[in-house]
Amino acid sequence: MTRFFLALAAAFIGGLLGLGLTALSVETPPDFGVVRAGPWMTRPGIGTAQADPYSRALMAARGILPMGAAEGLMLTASRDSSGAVLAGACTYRISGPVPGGGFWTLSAYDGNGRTSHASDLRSGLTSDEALRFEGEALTIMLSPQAQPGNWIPVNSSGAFELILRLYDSQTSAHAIDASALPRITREGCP
Amino acid sequence: MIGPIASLLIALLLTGIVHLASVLALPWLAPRDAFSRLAELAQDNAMTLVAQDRAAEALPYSDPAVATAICRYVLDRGPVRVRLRTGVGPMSLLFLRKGAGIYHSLSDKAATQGVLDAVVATPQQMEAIIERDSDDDAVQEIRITSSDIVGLVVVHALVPTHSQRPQVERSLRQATCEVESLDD
Repeated sequence: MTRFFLALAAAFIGGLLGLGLTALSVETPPDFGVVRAGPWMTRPGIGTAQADPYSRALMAARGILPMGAAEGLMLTASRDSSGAVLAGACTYRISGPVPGGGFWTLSAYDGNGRTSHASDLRSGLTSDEALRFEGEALTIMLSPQAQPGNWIPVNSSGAFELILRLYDSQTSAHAIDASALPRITREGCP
Repeated sequence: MIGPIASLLIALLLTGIVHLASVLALPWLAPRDAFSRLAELAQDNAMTLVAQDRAAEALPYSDPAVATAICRYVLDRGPVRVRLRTGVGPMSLLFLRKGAGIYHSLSDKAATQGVLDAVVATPQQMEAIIERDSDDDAVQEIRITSSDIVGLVVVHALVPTHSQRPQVERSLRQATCEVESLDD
């Protein structure tokens, strides 16, 4: 009889651990198949029928709609180029090339995926809206305080994430490298 | 005799099985996945423009520079045709099924003469459509086979600059999503 209960307890604990592991893999997703380039990361194949089971479970649990494979490529950053978490209180300079040569958008989000901004301000920037200066690399400032030039306002409390979307892009997720992507540099914190 | 080692093995084996099964089942079981959130905003076999604030509210991490229109297709009365005019910025069509996520996507590069024309059909309906093709006319539409009767078509149109949003939304309002009869 004790043997039976021991087996039952083992099965119960196994089941619980299995569910716990799944919850953990959605909360802090494993890096299976993730492509990283500098501060940016992407999950190839996420917007296709061939997406891996972990990416698919992650999207389903969080209610996220990825970009379709034909739509373009989505790059996410939650840390700056030195590896520090992006903090809303700080000012960041995003500078450098944007691959693909087509339309792109850059948007900032809070931890819940809401656009990180004061309601009446813009929450992102598109390639057509970005100001470019002769002979200078494209520069975008992220800060809770107004900045000259290209400025994306962020909420000063908490951390934020950036998503760079390359529309109509033929760039392969596996072909991106850090030198072809903008750097994220912390300019200062109060 | 079931000793501590056998118990440990049972626990480990079950951890693995339950973990794998729950990861695979999650897209089908998740009550608040993107499919369910979008389906709430959609009408059956009709294209609906989703206001920007409603789209941002419904879907986390959505692009604020994108205009969205949705149609929930129901193929029980015949295939569904989606038509839209290409506009000022890039546009794409995403085809979703519950559990499968985005199973197909098209960009406006697939448009002919400025019109993106796609037909969604079940495998049986698709056979009937192909049978009726004549050899003389080239097929203009893009054909997508859906293994489920019900699914979603999401139209994404990038708004190049904020002031162009009314123009982009006006063109999305012209987009259609209609049942087609196979009988005539």
